[in-house]
Amino acid sequence: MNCEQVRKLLAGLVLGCLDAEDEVALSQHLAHCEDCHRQLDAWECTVGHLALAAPQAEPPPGLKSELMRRINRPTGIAGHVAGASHRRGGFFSWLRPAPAWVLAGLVLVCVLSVGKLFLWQRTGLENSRSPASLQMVVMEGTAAAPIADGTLIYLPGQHEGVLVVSDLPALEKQRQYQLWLIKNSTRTSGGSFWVEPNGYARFIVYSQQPLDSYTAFGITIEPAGGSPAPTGEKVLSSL
Amino acid sequence: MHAFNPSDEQLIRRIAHSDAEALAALYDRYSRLVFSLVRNMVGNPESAEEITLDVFTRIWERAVSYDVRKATVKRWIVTICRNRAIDVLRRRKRRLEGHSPKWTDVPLDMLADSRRGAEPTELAILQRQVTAAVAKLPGEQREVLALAYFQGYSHRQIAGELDLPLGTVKTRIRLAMDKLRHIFDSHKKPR
Repeated sequence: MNCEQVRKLLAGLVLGCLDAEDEVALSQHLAHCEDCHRQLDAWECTVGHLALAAPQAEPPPGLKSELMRRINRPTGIAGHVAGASHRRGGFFSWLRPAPAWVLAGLVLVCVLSVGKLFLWQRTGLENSRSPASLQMVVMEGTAAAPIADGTLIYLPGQHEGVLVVSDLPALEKQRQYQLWLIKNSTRTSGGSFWVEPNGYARFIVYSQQPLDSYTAFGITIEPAGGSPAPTGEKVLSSL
Repeated sequence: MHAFNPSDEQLIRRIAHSDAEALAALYDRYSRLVFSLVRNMVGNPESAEEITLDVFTRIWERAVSYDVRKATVKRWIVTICRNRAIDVLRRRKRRLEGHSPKWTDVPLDMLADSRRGAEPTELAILQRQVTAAVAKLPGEQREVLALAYFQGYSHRQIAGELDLPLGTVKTRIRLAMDKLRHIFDSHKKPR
């Protein structure tokens, strides 16, 4: 796909209405074309305005009180995350994110040095929000995996982190999920992984550059063993 | 209480530190936009209320990961909002029956800030500009654009629903977006 073909499809990309094969081809081109990437930014600004054209409606007066009641209900990491997920339905969907976060923290502790562990303890695992030094990147499911979500946790300046995903479809052996670390339109592999039958996975990420130097993260489906660049459908993306 | 009017980014930073008052302020600023967009997308008020709550709950949880380099706060909120509404639509597997995007049918003066006597805010002024820009599009372009934006349809799904050639759908969307971009670029765009 050349630049002219790509630019005809950029508006469709930002609207989210491209068919899968066009989206894959476009992503591959954008990964190494700065000019087209700049065009993409301009289109995103245009599409960002469209929400304002929706016919206006006032939210009911009680909604704000319900929101404030809802955010004040849970305490601690488990409660905070459970609060986000309680409407997904089912006991396990309410319960599962809490151990996922706690386990993510524990795995992170395992990969940190003693000095960093001290920092971790000082910041306080019991805090309902992430400690100031701990970075969390939330990834949302795309149309290919709308209920999936993922979180990448790391410390600033570090090359290791923990990725926790849930509700991703289980893949056959020939295919794996692959994490992409994105900076200046360049996508670097962050490793490949399978998920458990329930769609859950914990995965330690190692990167050549500090994880906080990347500006975005995404996960695609690739052939087992991974690809040098994204070729498959995107399932998770950082906002 | 804060005597000054904090920016969106300041509110998000405070929300990231669990400041409920900041979330309340952000809600006052954006709940109408969120509720309007969601209601237009999913059709019924009950679902719109639930998704609106969900959007602001997510903002509360995810403010810590907001990155100003990637999007303005408004764009970030709209992205969360639209993704949640499209998720709901896809789970329902509901398509055109019962509800379809309405922006083609609503009189222009009803689309912008309808709060009588209210001083037009920056957001309301921008709303008028955007609404006027959309109103200038030919109906056939607004139709495909609305299906893509409000319903999360792909090119192929729009072609199927409207019984149009795929190339025609792609062209209409591209022309519509080209025109909007041209119009928006000609305004001084508040962010």
